[in-house]
Amino acid sequence: MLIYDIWFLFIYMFSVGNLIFVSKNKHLLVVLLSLEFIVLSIFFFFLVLLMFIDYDMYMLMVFLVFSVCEGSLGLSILVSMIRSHGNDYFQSFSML
Amino acid sequence: MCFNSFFFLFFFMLINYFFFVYFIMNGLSVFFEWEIISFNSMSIVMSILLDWMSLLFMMFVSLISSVVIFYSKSYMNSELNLNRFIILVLMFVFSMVLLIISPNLISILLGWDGLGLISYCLVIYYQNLKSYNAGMLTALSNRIGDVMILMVICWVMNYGSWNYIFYFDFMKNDYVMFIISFMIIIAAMTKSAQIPFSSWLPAAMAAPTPVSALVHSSTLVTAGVYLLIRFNYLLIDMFFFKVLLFLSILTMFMSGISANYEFDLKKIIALSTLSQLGLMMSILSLGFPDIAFFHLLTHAMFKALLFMCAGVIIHMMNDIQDIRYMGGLSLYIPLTSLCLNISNLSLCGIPFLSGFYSKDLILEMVSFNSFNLMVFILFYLSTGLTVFYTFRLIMYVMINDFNLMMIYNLYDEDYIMLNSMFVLLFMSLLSGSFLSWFIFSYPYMIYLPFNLKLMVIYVSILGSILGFMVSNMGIYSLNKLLLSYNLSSFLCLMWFMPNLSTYGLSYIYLNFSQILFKNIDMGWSEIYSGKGIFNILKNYSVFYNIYQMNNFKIYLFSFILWFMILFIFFFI
Repeated sequence: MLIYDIWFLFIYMFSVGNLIFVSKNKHLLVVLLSLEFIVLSIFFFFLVLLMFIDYDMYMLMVFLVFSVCEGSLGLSILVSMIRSHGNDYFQSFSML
Repeated sequence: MCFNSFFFLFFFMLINYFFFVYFIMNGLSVFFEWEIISFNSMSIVMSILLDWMSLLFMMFVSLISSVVIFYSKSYMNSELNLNRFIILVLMFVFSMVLLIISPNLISILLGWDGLGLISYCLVIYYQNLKSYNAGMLTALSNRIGDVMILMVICWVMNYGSWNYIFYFDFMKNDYVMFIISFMIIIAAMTKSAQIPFSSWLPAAMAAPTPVSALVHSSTLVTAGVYLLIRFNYLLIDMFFFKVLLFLSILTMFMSGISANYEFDLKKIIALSTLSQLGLMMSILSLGFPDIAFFHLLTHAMFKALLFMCAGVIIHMMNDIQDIRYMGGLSLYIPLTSLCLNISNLSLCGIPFLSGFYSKDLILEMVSFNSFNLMVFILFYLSTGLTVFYTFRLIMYVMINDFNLMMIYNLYDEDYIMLNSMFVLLFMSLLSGSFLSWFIFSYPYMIYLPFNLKLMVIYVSILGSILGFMVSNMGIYSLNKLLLSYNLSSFLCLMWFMPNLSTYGLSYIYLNFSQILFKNIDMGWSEIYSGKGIFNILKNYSVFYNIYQMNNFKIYLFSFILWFMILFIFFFI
């Protein structure tokens, strides 16, 4: 029962993060924040999962490192976009 | 190159002459055979038949070609690629020799096809538009004859070998021989330019004059006659021979009339050749092959001489071939006009020149045997027409007043051309009597009434008077030719038969292809393949563009949508 509660929380957090990711925003920073939120939810759920496998948290540390790298990469893309386009507005991008 | 080939061919002529005399005195004939390959029952052999007829014809061919090559050293001396020309002429002589000595249909086909191909190469030698058209007409008309001989080869396979000379006496009434004779007659008609196929010979005058002298006067056009002489035992009581008689008499008559309206020097001589070819074919189809052969040989001599004189005149007049620009040349080029006059008079049949022996013999044989009235009338009329256009030509070129086209170019002393003409002049004077002593072992006994015997003289005198009166022009002369425009154009343009081979054959196809082009190429295929597909692609691309020129997040939202669908359907 407790598991199902945490499961529902994870699903809720994950889907909310995705919804913000695909939503039409004005700023790229919001998209990056939503990505961090998704990472955070996965981190939380990974932690809960590993609690049932005898508290082996080493993989979690690797995951943390990679997620931090991903966050910094996102920020560098944001910086280069601001440098080239002058603003943060994401609306002018299309699939082409 | 010219001198080498001249000496070689002259030497070849002498060899042929001595062998000819030996063979005809002893009645020999030699048959070489070399078996190339043997299938189940057919064997392809390369045979060479040397009897007096082939040796005599080879002698004449090599004499004329050696003289023509020597002549073309001076005639075509401004030609850069003279070696190419000489090689073409030598290949032509080789094909002709191959045709002459072969009793075998396959080697006849090699010689026949070689003649057609090389005459095409020689006709297009000058490479302008008119030569190309003339060459195409020549090659395609000759091609019909090639196809006929190929089909004869197929049919002769019934008999086991392609040596046709052995089968004539045994298989005369066979159906296969009937088909073969029909096709051989059509092949000879295409090569010798009889009525349905006669449009190529005046057109082939676009060739250089030495080519005309060799090819279109004596060798190529007589190949058909020679083939029929070889096949004579087969054809002599077939029905198609009578058809050939009809067509060749009409050819003779028609070209005699057309030559009277022509103003191009080489075309007059070409139509004169056509008329004499009709004469040869008609006497052959009446059943006298040896007389046809005799006329073939003497005609070769004086016609080649006539072409060579025409070449000198054309060179002199700075490449003008129209006789209306010429006149009074006999005062200024005496030796050339000597050759021209003798060959023209020999053509008319003036007594005791070489043409007289053959032509008079033909006319007397026609009178002596009992033939049709139409045959008789057309023969004598054509003889009269020959004299008519000959005298008209002599009047225009030599006797009328000098037309002042070229004053400083009246140059006769080109000794190369003159010497070559003198060889043929000698032969043209004497070959009539020489040949009649050799070929006919006993004279023909012909007994005619007095006026009938002199009928030749009557039509000749009539023709000469008419020729004089037609071309007797002064300052005061009015030309009334256009009063009879329809009739004149009918008679001048060879009874409109060249249209059969040129305009008539291409009009239907060109018309049809124009319809196709307008309706399909510029019509429906634009919708179905050209612009139509372009429009479809363009419209779809515009739609895609509108579809995709949106915020990127819409695209990402579709992922969430998909996830939600999955979630709803699998977790409920």
